[in-house]
Amino acid sequence: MTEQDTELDGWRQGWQALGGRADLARSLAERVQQDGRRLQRELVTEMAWAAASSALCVWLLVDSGGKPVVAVACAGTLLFTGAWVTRLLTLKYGAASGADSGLDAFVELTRRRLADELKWQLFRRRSLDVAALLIVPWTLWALTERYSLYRAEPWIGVAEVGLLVALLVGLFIHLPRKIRALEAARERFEALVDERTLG
Amino acid sequence: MTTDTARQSAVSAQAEALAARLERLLAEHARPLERIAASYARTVAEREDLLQDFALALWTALPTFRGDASERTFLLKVAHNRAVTFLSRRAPNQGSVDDYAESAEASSGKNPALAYERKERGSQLLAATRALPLGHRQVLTLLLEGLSHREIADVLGVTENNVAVRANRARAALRVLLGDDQRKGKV
Repeated sequence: MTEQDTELDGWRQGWQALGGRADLARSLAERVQQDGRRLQRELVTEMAWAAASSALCVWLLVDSGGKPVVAVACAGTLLFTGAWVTRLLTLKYGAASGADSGLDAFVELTRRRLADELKWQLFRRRSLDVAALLIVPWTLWALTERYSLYRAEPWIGVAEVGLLVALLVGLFIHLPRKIRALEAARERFEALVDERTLG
Repeated sequence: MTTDTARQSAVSAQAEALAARLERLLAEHARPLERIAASYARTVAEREDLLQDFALALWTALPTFRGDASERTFLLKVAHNRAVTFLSRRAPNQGSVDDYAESAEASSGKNPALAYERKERGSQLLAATRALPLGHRQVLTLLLEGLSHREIADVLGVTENNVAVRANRARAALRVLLGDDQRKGKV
């Protein structure tokens, strides 16, 4: 046995003495079952939302007799829903694939996933701008036209205008944060890859 | 109706088989997973998250495992890949406190002195490994787990020559780091 092998064996003994927490395997397996069920529930819920919003759009289109404003709003919503569903299915497929690929292949896959996720968030941000262009004038119109109704029944105002404005403001705050976090994650990942390559 | 019931029971049997397989795999390899998590994550909370990520990644990847490599190689590949994602997701400067040394449990049969000595050596190794660049760290931790160069090449998707080069550099760096650690300990 060479001196170097003796050294490695010594390190291995020390290294392999670490760990051994009791019950770790069972608790992990249990949590995975819970997480798996949660992920499936989330996927089903999102698909249900997508189906419901598409059905609502179709109903609105038929009910309005194809009014241009409704048609534009529905087209925008359907386009967004299409992108949403595509991303959902891609993400589901992506999550199940590549986990056991070689490191270089995994790095490429992760890079692509991060880029896709960033593209999706940027698309959401742009969609929000478009939605705001429609929602803000409608809000102003609703406030002037239905002022007396809102004054008499404030809960209608809160339900119609308040929730919409709160949602819009919330998304305007949340999405840029999300995009910045993703960009930072991408930078950190690239720095790691550089380090790995140099290593 | 009968076909639907048969399909449902087949799906449920598949899910149960997958769960049983995962539990067995985790039971057999919990210690290596724990060590890999510790070589990437410093705090208890981070390690718990990472271990959970490992297990979830295994759960999603297990149905695609066709037995081309050993289960251990497959498991370590999934864990190391997941750890790379974890590192890129982790906020900078997070987890600066190293609490593994206190929580690590070392076992060496019935000899407490040997157990203590090995635990000490293991903790020093862990601290030194974390200081290595990712490419070196991965090769070294796999080497310490007892994998051959061929198996490491399979886990990392690189050539055996590349593994040999990285292993030599990692070992040299580790020697320096452990030497530094020992000197610091004497001061």
